[in-house]
Amino acid sequence: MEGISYQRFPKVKIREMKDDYLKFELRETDASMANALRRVMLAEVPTLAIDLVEIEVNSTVLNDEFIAHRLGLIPLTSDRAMSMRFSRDCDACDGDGQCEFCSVEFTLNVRCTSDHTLDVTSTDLRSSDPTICCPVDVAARATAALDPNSAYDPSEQRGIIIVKLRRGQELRLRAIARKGIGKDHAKWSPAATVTFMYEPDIHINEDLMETLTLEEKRSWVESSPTKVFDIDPNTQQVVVVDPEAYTYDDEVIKKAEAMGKPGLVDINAKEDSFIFTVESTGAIKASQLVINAIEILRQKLDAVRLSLDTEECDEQFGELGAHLRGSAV
Amino acid sequence: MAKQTMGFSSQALQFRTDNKLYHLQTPQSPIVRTAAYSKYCMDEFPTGTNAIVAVLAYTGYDMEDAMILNKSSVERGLFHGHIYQVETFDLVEQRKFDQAFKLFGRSNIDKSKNDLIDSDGLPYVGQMINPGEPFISVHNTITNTTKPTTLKGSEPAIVDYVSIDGTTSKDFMQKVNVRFRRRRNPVIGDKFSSRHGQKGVCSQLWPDIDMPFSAATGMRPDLIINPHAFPSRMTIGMLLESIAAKGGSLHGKFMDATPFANSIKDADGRSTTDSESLVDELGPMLTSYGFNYHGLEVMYSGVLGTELACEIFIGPVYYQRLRHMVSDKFQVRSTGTVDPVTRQPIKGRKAGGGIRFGEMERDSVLAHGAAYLLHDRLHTCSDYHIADVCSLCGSILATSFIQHQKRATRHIGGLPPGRAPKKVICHACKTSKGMETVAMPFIFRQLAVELAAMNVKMTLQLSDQA
Repeated sequence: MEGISYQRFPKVKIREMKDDYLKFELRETDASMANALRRVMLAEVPTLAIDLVEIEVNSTVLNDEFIAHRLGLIPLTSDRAMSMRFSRDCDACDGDGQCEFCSVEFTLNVRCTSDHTLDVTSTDLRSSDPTICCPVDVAARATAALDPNSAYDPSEQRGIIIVKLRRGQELRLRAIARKGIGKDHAKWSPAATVTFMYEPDIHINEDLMETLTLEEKRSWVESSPTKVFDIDPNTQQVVVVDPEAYTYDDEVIKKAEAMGKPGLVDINAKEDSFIFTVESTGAIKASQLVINAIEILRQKLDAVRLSLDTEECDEQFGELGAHLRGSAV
Repeated sequence: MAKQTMGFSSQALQFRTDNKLYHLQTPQSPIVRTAAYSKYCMDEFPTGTNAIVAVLAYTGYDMEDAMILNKSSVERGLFHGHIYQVETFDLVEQRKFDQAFKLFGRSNIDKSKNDLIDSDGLPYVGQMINPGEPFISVHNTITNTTKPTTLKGSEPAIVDYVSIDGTTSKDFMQKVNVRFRRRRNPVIGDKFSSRHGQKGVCSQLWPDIDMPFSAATGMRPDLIINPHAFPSRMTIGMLLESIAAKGGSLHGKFMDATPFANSIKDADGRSTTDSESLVDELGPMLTSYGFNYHGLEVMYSGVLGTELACEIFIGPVYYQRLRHMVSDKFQVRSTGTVDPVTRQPIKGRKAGGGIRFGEMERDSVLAHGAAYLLHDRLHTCSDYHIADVCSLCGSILATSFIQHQKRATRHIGGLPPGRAPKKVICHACKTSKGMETVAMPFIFRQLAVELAAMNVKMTLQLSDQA
């Protein structure tokens, strides 16, 4: 392909990483890439979730659909989800969840025989293969049991509650977990929150700042609801303590104008660097979520690239396809 | 508050047989509440959800009191609900009409209904019944017949509960309540309202990834309403509720919104609150957690990832689901049953009728000069009728068909037998010479008939001039 290349080489720097939390910088790319990554993480990274429930006995206070819906929303460990098949294109079975390539079967069989209220929780769900897929809290307990140093306290964790039973009530069901994406149903979304912000570039006009009294400086610093600026106790100068706490709310700029000192501070968003915060539901690790998202984004772009020079391109992408093809010639 | 809302109306729901009951699946306790709310233990019967509401004009789907719901929020259970409906079968009551002793029971001969009706003649609990399917059957001991009752309406229902009322006539089960459950998850066209009367209709279930998101928290709103809903209606309370609820949720406490609370004086005759303005109490609650004083937040477009030009007012507002739902109200018809007298389409949603195209609609189409449309609506699609008129006497009533003797018609291979030519005769003129066909609304013929019944004769004068 002739012409100028706009290819860029984005850089990622990880700041903080926990199982369910990740904070990283994404640099040398633009908002479209950052937002694409966010959108893919929220809606297109596959996970497993209970999708089909066959209720045998339900004498609980909640109705069948309610319980099925609650089961669906339980996050399941989905580390293998990327390599599994969608049940709709599984050749080994007809999508009824009987095959290992596309589904995992769960059973739940609880009956309350005591006078105390019995909580039916995610721990009561029996997975046909716990190594592939089980509720996240069960998995957390299993890993904590192996690691004696972990801070995990099983007595605090009671599992994800499904329904409460009184004496004589019973719940017996079979559930099938399938692979899916968040776009189809929110239960398949692996991300609790994904957000990014533009990295701010803050310049204080030192000359103008020096014209302020200490009292004025203090009131200016306090005009920001987040703690971005502070006053150095020694030099009594205004310093930027945490530029990323700035929310682009323009409060300090408005305050400077109100004080009759416009241009006291100059804040710009860097167009090419972003700070991402990713929180996972626990279905997959936050770090894995980002990696999977990049992989899926690449697959999607490959699909566009490969279909560029085919006629189907027009059907698939409409005007965009014709445009892409036109430029390729 | 509770009149039109779906809520959690009873704690003993499982054993009740209310005639019709609207039930919200996962209600919440409001963050902003009044003293009376606590006094009357309203928490036992909540009526809504604390939805995260963003006030902005987004996509245009929130114009004119429409609102955009977040699809993912709905999928996670926001505003899910059910309608419970009870049908009562009282055989003692039925006996008064035909004096026949009846029992619940299914037919031993016809086993085709056995997957819907149990051996006692009652439905299986938990079974889904489609419209037109039988769910209960009654055995008449005198005629020795079994008659099933089918489900009415146009949507499937689930048998939720079956209860038997006191067996009055000795040991025989004579009165049964069947409670049906119908799912009512939010769809386009359902109605929602805040507690300030800001009601709106869901116009779109918008994908979560396309919703604007807050840069600081990454939150996407559950619901978007248009800012134009506020100036003319002056529902400042809703904005204050949003700020108060935001502060309350940040601090983890419920907020008091008792009216006139500021005017309560303590023993010294001073107001119990320090500040003049409510905002001055709520604002610092937000700033202490790094939020904007007035409840605004910087948001990014979910589609583009770019910052929105304005700061957006966003916060939790207690929203209620109202019981007006499209699935109970939609009316659609192409062709269907007609009134036997007028041959015009019948009215009524239940009967599958149409919506009346009335005088005002007629005037409007007429004003547009859309003559063909008018003719189509009022004639072709209504009671179009081809009448035989006798041009000699002008009568449309004195005409009748003459039945021809069956003639041996030649069959042409593959074609249906040709229709015998119609022979119409005027009884008054005793001839078929002057017969003409004229297209007219059938109601015109009905008029002629009714006039004839009053001894008024109507004659038509036919001519070719336009």
